[in-house]
This record gives sequence, structure tokens and C-alpha cells, in this order.
Amino acid sequence: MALKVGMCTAMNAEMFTKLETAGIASAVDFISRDPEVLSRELNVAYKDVCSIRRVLLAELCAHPVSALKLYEDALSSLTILSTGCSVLDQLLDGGLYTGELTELAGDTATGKTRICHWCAAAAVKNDLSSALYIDMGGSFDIPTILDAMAEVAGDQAAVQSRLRRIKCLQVFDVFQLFALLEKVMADSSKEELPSEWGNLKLVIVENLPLFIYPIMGANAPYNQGILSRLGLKLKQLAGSLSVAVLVTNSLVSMYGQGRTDQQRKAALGRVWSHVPHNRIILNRVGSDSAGFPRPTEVEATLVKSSHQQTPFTATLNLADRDAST
Amino acid sequence: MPKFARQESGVQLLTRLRSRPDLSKLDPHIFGQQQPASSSASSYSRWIHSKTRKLSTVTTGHLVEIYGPEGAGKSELALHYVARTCLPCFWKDISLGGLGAHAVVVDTELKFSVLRLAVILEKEALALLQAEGRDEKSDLDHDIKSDTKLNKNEQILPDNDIRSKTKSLNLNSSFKNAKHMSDNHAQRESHQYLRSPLNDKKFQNKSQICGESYPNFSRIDTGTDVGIKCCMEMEKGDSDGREGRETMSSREGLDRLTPEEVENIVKESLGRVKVVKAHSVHELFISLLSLEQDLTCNSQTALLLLDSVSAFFWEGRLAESSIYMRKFKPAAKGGLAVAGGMAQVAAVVSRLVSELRMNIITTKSPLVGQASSSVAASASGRKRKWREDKDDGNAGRNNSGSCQQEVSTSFLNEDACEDEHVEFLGKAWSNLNPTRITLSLTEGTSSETEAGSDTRLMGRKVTTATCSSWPSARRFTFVNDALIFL
Repeated sequence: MALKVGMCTAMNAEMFTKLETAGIASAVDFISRDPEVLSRELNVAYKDVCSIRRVLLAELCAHPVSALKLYEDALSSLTILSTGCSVLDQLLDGGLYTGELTELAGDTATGKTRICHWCAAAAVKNDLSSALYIDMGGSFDIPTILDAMAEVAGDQAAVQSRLRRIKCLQVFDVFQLFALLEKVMADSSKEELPSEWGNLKLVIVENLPLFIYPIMGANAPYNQGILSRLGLKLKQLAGSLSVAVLVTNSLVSMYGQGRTDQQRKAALGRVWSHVPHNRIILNRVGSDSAGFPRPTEVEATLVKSSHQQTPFTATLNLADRDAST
Repeated sequence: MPKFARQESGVQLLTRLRSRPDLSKLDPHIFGQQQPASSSASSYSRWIHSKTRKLSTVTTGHLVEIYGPEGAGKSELALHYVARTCLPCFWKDISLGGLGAHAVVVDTELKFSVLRLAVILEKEALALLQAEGRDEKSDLDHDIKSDTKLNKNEQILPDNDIRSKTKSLNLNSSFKNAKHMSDNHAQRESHQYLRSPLNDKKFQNKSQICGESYPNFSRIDTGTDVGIKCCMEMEKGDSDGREGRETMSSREGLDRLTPEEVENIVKESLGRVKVVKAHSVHELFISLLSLEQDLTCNSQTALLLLDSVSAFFWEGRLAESSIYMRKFKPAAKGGLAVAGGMAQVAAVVSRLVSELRMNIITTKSPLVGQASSSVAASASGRKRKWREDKDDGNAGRNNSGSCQQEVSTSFLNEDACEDEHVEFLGKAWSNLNPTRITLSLTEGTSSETEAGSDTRLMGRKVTTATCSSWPSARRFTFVNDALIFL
């Protein structure tokens, strides 16, 4: 944060020019210097330096909040969104929790996009909530959504009202994604006007590696930094707006330690592996008696969770989500 | 002459001389012993320490670092330490074994879940209360089990029988009751856990819970033979004293264990915890500075948990590598650009530990690991082998033999050094010399010998923890949200 004249009573133009000549332009520079040394070097009153430092510390620090207050707030704002599939709900200890980031990782055609559609359809069942679907690869598909809303298929008005509350936005690179997330956070924090996002409860970011791979070059700090910043932004979104965030990811093989290629882990590396609160890995189940792979059966393994003991595996049927397997 | 003449207000002096709550009950190996003054401690504290070593009145805090791969349980272990710290010592004459001290949690990855802390507190309180009530005779169980109490609870929440058998806890199940999207009775049902069948579960599974909690109570407490003996003696002493009035007071004790009581214990403990969420390395630095000021005046706080000190490592490097930073703020100037800002944070942490005698637990993720270097070695080994084979015959064959050996040994070495600690936060942090607990996930599940008769421990993911202060490696796992040492 840059220092400005008029920030506090002690920060007048004279003080500002003195700081500028000493090379102190930002608040952090000011705070990291010892106040006694600074007042001696710049020839200013010690109490002025102390008062500016106090103001800066008070403005810029993250204030401690009592855990009790957080607890009471959390109890009142926590919502558990069903995923639309009872097996997944059981895996996730009830469903998608608001304030948490859940990741679905799987190879191609293991049903990640379909599950996202189910979640979006289930999130708008309630008359008030809305969902945001951020899509890069053009995977948002209306017939799948309509299938998931089968219970109100006849009622045209209900279907329309639900579809209106699912917002689908196409973004084409990670910087647009950052801008969109900032916009959602800024809009939703405005109290005066009704927000265009409605009562947002679920944000889905489809196919995260597609955003990251184009910017990955040889410069490790660059791509790892962007990735960790993205993770933080998504979690901030989840926490401050009390929404559930669902992302999808692909799988890569694990090297070393005598592991074979059969064992897969989520892509995007070490930095990303620490970010989600919950992670489910989807695998295609083996083949049936004829030797053909079963296309509709998928094995979901919970590998990381903030609520349940892992690992926890269950099989779900993509064609008929209410079937108990 | 060391420059130690600095101003200090009266409050600060008194705080410095007063001592903070002692954490040695948490883990006597780590928190019990004196921490030697680290090399980066200020000259003032070093001077004081040298002068008063003989008198040994000056103590420093402890800096503990929990390092481990993702999913090993670093944050969980740290949260258990926090829970033990802020549980009250006594609750209506029942010893809870907590320390009743304040704690601060600094959350850098937005990972801290206060609901998770509440669940852990509830579990710990329950386990300790169960251990207290363990001495009762079994007929007492039968009396109470078969009675109206159970039926009463069942009537209040008819579905809870099913829910209490599921994996999730009382709290979790009541969340499902309270907050499912289709259900609009938010207000009323958010308090459903108050009426949850705490007693129900307790009485139904009493022998099981007691069987699990007694050995764990002693192990969680200390983990040494001495510790276990002490606990057993304490139990014996209690039971002796209680025998006379067993029927009366035990019944009373159990009667007092209403859900509201446990809820009050949890709320009182949560009131002792403060949470700070930092979103960038600047915010972390400034928040630690302002915490330093707060802690000077407040000697009730015994523990600071810095969850994930490595969260901003890559962001800091990203900022550092930008052209602006390289041109206008070279690292030599000592700005926040040094090592991604970690140097400044390390300085504040060292001040907190040495001068304010705070005990700090941090978790560190292995963002830069040995694995990357060994993968590179094995990859280059393979490449070398391929090149040798391609080039020529005999000479190549000899070389490829040795290359093969190289490849295989590098694979073998990976086993050893995958989980070893790699310092990537810079020299300032390594100079702090923290006590490191290294966690590693062991492949496979806990063996039968360890599980013993407790079948629930079979098939669980087990974490091995090693620490320079511990006499031997310890293994632990989580069962129903409770930390159990094997």
C-alpha cells in the first residue's frame, strides 16, 4: 500500500517528501524500519513516526477474530449443497459444503462434466439460489442439465426459472478468470443494489488445467505463483461469499518410489495439491464379463477431505444417478 | 558493547518478566526443555541469556515446525495441540486435562475451519470425560442404558439412531439436519445438536469408547512410560476416593454430561482462540507485527499456530522475479523482496519466540522436494543409458551397466529422501533452528500387532512422526476425529 499525504494527522507534505527522498514509498517499507532509527535519519519527531506506524499497522493488519464469533457465524451460514447423486453425497459427508473448495479429478470421459451439471441443477432447486458455471472448453450442455432436472420436466415455468438462475460464462485464459472472480466478489459485497448474480451458492470452474497449461513456461516462480494465487482467490471467494466452489482437474502419473503408471494423482503439481479442501478421484471401473469397459460405471475415491477419514471409495453410475450401487 | 538499550514500557517489562502458561503437558519432550537461544535472536536477549544462564530465570519460547507431505495430518496434529491448550483445566470438578490458556491461529491458506476445531474440542472433551467416568461398575451401565434416558433421547430425534452410526459426528449430522437446501427451518434446527444423542451414543457404546479412550488418554498426554504410570496412579487415586460415594457422584457426573454442558465447554474453549486470516505475505508480516504488540501486553496467550508458513513462498518469488522488483528493489537493500518476504517474517517470529517467549507451531508443506531432484537424476540416467546404447557397442555396454546401476540406486534413494526435509524458505528461516516434527505417510495400513484388539484401527491410514526431541518415532492415526497414537 502506498503512502499518501493526509493518511493521518502526522503525515503532512513535509513528512511525505522526506520519506520519499529516503526511498520509503510503501507502507511495508515504513513499517519494516525501526522507528527510532527512522526518526533520527529523517530528523522528524519520534512521536510522529510512531503515530504513523500505529495507523498503518491498524489499517493493514488482519484483525484477530474470536473463534467463538466465527463459530456462531459459521453455524448460521453453513449450507450443504447436495450433488444430486446420493453416492457422491455420502462420499462428501452430505454434499458440497459452502466455504470449501472441492476438486473432482479424473481422466477423460470419467464423468466430471456430468457431475458438475448435476451439481448445478441441484443447487438451483431452491427458489432463491443461483449457480455460476465458468467454462473454458465449451462443455456446458443444456440437455444434460434438463436431464438432471427431470423431476420438473413437465412444468415449463419451473424449468425456465431454474435455468435462468444458472449463469454460464466463458472465459478464455487465467487472467480473465482472475478478473471474473474479482468482479463476483466486488459485486456481491455491494449492499445497495440487488446483485446480478442472485443469491450465489455454487461456483463451478470446469477443467482447471486448461487455464494453467498455456501459461506454463520454463519460469517456475511464474507459473507456481499464478497457481498459488489462483488457489487463494478461489478459497477467498468460497469463504467470504459463503459459496461452494467445485473445480475439475485431470490426472497424471506418479513417478518414483517404485510406483507404476497405474497410480494416478491429481494434476497441477505440489502447489495445487495442498489447495482444495476435498478431493475426489474418478476412475473407470474395470471391464465387464465380455471384456469391454463399462462406460457408465465410475469409481469415486475420496482422497482428501476435511470431514471424513480417507480413503473412501464408492461406485457410481453415470447413466442413472439415483441407482444405489 | 551490544546495543541493547531500548525503550520498553512498564507493561512490556512486566510481561517479559511474567511467565506464560506452561505447555509442557502438551508434549514434555518438545515443550518441557529449555530452548537454546538461536543465533538470530536479538543481541539484547542473547546478552540477558548469557548473564542469567546460571540463574535460569529467563526462558525462551519454543518454535516447532511440522513438516510433511500433503494429507499426512500436519494441520490436524497442530489443531489437536491447539485444542488441548484451550480446553479448560477443570469443568465442575472434573479434570479435563486441558491447559486453559489462550491461543492464536494465523491462517495463511484459508484452510482453517472453526467447525473442525469445534468437533475436535468436543471429541477431546468427551474422551477425557469418559476416562474420568471409567471407573464405574458395569451394573451402573446396565441401569442407565436400559432406561428412560435412552428412550427419551430417541424420541427427540427419531432418525438419530441411523445417523449416530454413520461416520460423521454428532455435530456433522446435525448440520445435515439443519442446513439441507430443501429444509427451511434453519433457525430451529441449527441448534439440534444440542439435543443430539450424546448420552445415547455414550451409553450404547460405553464399553467401546472407554476401551478406546483410556489407553489413548494416557498416550495423548505424554506417551512415555512415566506418563502412563502417572495417569494410572491418578486413576487409582481417584477411584479410591470415589469408591465410597461411587453410586451417588458418578451418577451425578454422568447426569451433568448433558449436551448443553459439552456445548458450553466447547464454546468456552473457542472463546480462548483468536483467528487471524492473512491473504498475502505483506499482510502476514504486518499482522505478526501487530500481534507482537498485542502479545506484549497479554501474557495469557501460550500458543501461536501459524498454519502453513510456506503458503506464500511461490507468490513471493513471483513478485521478486518481476522486472520492477529486480530493477528498483534489489534484494541487497533488505526490502521485503528478500527470499520472497520470508526474511522479515522470520525476524518477527524469532522476536516472538525469544523475547516474548511465545510458543509457536508452524506447518510447512514440501513445496520443493527431493523428489524433483531425484526424478531429474533418474531421467538423466535413463537418457544417458539410451545415448550410450545408441552410440557404440562394448564401451557403451559397460557404461550402460553402470548407468543402470545408477538408475536403480537413484530409485532406491528416492524412497529414503522423498519425505526428508528440504529447506526452501531461505537462510533466515533455517537460522531459527526450529524443532522439527517430520511426518510421513506409511504405505498400507496399520498392522495387526499395533491395532491389537481394537478392530477399528485396522485399515486406517497411519502417519509416522519423527522428531529430534522424541526418544523414538511415533505413529498415529485418526479414528472418528480423535487423534490416537499407536
